[in-house]
Amino acid sequence: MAETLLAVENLHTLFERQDDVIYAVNGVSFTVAAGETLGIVGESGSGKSVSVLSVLGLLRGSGRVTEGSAKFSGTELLRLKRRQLEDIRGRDIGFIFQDPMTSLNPTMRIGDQIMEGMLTHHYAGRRAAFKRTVDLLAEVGIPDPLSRFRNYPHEFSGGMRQRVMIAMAIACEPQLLIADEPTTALDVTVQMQVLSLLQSLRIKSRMGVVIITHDFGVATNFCDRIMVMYAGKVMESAPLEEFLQRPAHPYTIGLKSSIIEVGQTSRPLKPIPGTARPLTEPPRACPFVERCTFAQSACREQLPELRLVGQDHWVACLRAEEVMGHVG
Amino acid sequence: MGIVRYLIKRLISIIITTSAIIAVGYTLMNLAPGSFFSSTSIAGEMGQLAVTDPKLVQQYEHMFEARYGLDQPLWEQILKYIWHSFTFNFGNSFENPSTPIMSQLHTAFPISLELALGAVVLAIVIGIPLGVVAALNRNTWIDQVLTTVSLGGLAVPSYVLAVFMVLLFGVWWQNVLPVNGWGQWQDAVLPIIALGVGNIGSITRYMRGSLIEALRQDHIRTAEAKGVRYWPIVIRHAMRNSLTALITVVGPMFAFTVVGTIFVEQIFSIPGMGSLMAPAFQADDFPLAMAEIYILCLLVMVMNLLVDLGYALFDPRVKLE
Amino acid sequence: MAVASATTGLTLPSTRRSPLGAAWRRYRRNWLAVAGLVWVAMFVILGIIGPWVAPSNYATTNFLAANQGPTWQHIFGTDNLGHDMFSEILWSVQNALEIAFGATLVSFIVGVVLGLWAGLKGGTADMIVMRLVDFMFAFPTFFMDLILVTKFGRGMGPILFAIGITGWAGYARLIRSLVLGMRNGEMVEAARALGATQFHIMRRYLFPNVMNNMIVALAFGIPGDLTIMAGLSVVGMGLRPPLPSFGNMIAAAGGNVLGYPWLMYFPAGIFAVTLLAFLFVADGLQEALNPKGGF
Repeated sequence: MAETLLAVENLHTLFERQDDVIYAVNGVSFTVAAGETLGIVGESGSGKSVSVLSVLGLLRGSGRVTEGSAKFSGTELLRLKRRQLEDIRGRDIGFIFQDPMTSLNPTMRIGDQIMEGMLTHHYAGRRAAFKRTVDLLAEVGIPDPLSRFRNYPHEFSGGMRQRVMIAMAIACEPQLLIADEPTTALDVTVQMQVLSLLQSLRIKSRMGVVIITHDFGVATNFCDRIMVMYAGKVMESAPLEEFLQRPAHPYTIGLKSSIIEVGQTSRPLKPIPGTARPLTEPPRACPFVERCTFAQSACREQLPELRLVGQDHWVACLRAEEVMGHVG
Repeated sequence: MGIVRYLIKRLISIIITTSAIIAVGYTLMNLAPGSFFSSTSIAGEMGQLAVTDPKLVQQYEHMFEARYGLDQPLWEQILKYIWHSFTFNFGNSFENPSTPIMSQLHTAFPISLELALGAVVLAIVIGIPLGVVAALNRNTWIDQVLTTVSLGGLAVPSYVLAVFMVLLFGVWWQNVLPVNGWGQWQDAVLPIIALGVGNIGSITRYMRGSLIEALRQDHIRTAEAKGVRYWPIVIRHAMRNSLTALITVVGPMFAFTVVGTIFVEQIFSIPGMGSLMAPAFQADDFPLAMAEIYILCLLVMVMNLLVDLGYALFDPRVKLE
Repeated sequence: MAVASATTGLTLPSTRRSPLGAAWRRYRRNWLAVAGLVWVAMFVILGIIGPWVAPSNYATTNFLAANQGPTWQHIFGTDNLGHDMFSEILWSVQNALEIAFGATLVSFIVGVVLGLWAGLKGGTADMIVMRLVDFMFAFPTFFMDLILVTKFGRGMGPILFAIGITGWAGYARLIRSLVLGMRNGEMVEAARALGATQFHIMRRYLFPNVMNNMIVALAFGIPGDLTIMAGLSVVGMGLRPPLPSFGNMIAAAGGNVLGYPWLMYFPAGIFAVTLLAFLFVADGLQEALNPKGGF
């Protein structure tokens, strides 16, 4: 059994604004094992990015973690001092951000940016770091790496920049790689390239990978395990096969019905009615109830807990069994 | 675009603008009402006699005009003046017809330059750290105090500050620092401080805003995610970007400071360009005044050019054009 | 009544709640700005009623009482000609206000007209105006003021005019960029997409945004003009005595400060405080009306 790299349990995060509070993450738990790829799927505002940022202490502004635990290889991340956290970031856990244009320092050569992590963590001396950087650039598919080392981010295209970000994230050979919407800012063709790059990288290194995305297709094409989030809670979490064949949450079914699958021409698209809203109070009942086609009165009164309904298959729905039986 | 081509382009632009300034200034000076020279200068020439005799006055006026070439058509005058300015041939002043303007400026210019540069350097040296402290301690009492004090500093004009300093060091705490004259390094302390305080306030605020903005950028979060330590992030990632923004402020600040030296020199009795300028205007000594304005404007524009070059050097995204 | 936005979760203020009220509340939080406002109000009131409450006319001299420090009869003392400094200052307030407000107004009008012309007409009009603006920024306006005052005399009118006519560049640039921004702005497109009429667009979106920026610019313009005005006096080209002005008093006191420091405390102090007050107000206005921008 592969070792567990990251174990998040009952994470709660909120943001304090001038007049109210936003409950972004409300009791999220998941694990990532070495060599495993976890896909976290959800709409904007579902708390998927915030969960992961909370774990690494990268929340900005008024965000705070109020409850829960996040253990990386046994170390409780949420209680670490800044210095210790800085050690883990970059060295043990790599992070890829969403928008490569704004996420790279525009006044610093990309080669230096890649080297920076290695030098900070004393992964290698200057010469070795330089060499590794050039190798990394080649590995992520940047042509002419030696001369492009000296380029600035604005001299690259979007896809190239994302590759640079990937190189930067894996520079110190982290055990876990987290990618927050790695393909969202890219063209479709480039998306595929970046994804296959990630795929090949992780096969080589046994990294655990977490991909956060709102693109259902990306998640299902790439991940071993899928976790669906809504309103700061986990709705469903299952291995890919199980997930695709026996979805157990109305939201998941809704998601599947609302995407276009290649080859299907006659099935009508059924978008999920309504829109997602971040919560200004902690959820006391199922947050999906307003938009759920399976909703019943019990759903408005209690908060469904995650429970096991299959092989490693967790769902937070009172009527999960019925939903599973209901196809499409 | 190559640096040389850019420089040439800028120099041409400077020449054009300065010529325009001279032309405008010259024309304005020539506008009615008021004769081109005051009667005092004519009287000086003529001696005490016949000041009251209108015909003699007229004769002398004509003589003046001929001597200074003022009887020629305006546009010709302007062109000739522009040419002379660029060759630094200013002729003699009205006030002291025996003294060439150039020699007066020659001694006065370095003094004013020292003051202006000193004030700007002071502002940078003190303002940047203060701004950084304010930004990093955002919304704490430190920040509040710094922000308010900076606003106060740039509110009070340099001459008011100068006057208070004269009071402080001239009346209360005598013999600590000199308030008059120019000769030893101590003479420069008070004037530079008076000139610089406003700039310090300005830079502090600007640095603070700029650094806060820089820290909000996404790439700062990327650096954090890489595990880069706090101070390297502030210095290498945030400050580098905000410093380049600061350079854009230095140019106008220099111009502003140069104007400020005029007042400060008056108050501290410093023999710089400012001390020459006030009497020049009061006595309608046109050549001197115009020459000073020309030199100062030229100085300002050259500084701006240097600043722009520096900016392009720092920020790789900027293309000189 | 708040409406929760679907995508961002931010609550948008209902369009019915007055933006003015919200701005005022923000302004109130800044105690310096409020204090400044109080002082400015006092200053303006004094400017209006000053000449009536002054114990004596600014030109009145009384050699018997010359060179006295503060006494009950002459609260701020007297100068070497026996002028009552308190009255001088009161009269100066009026002059200062007249010139500062007047000049700012002139600059504003000229600037707005040129800026509008440049922004709306575009093309050559725009180019001409922008070149002019660049020129004005290159040529320190103070020098221009000096030249103008030399030629046109040192009275209230010429000084007001001089400062006004040289200060338009900032306003022009601001108006022009606002107009351009609004014309092409996404806000306008979005509003149009929703079917709003031209007028509605202008009233709801263009107008408040432009107004806010202009108010802030004006608020900063007044202390700027005050500074220029006093600066003129410092180099000897301000209001011709015996017309009272802060600058004159400061400049004169500079020479006499050793023997008669009170001649300096009061005018310089009040002048400085007034400038500070105006600036705090302007700063407060900026924070209140443009919460995101500025520094």
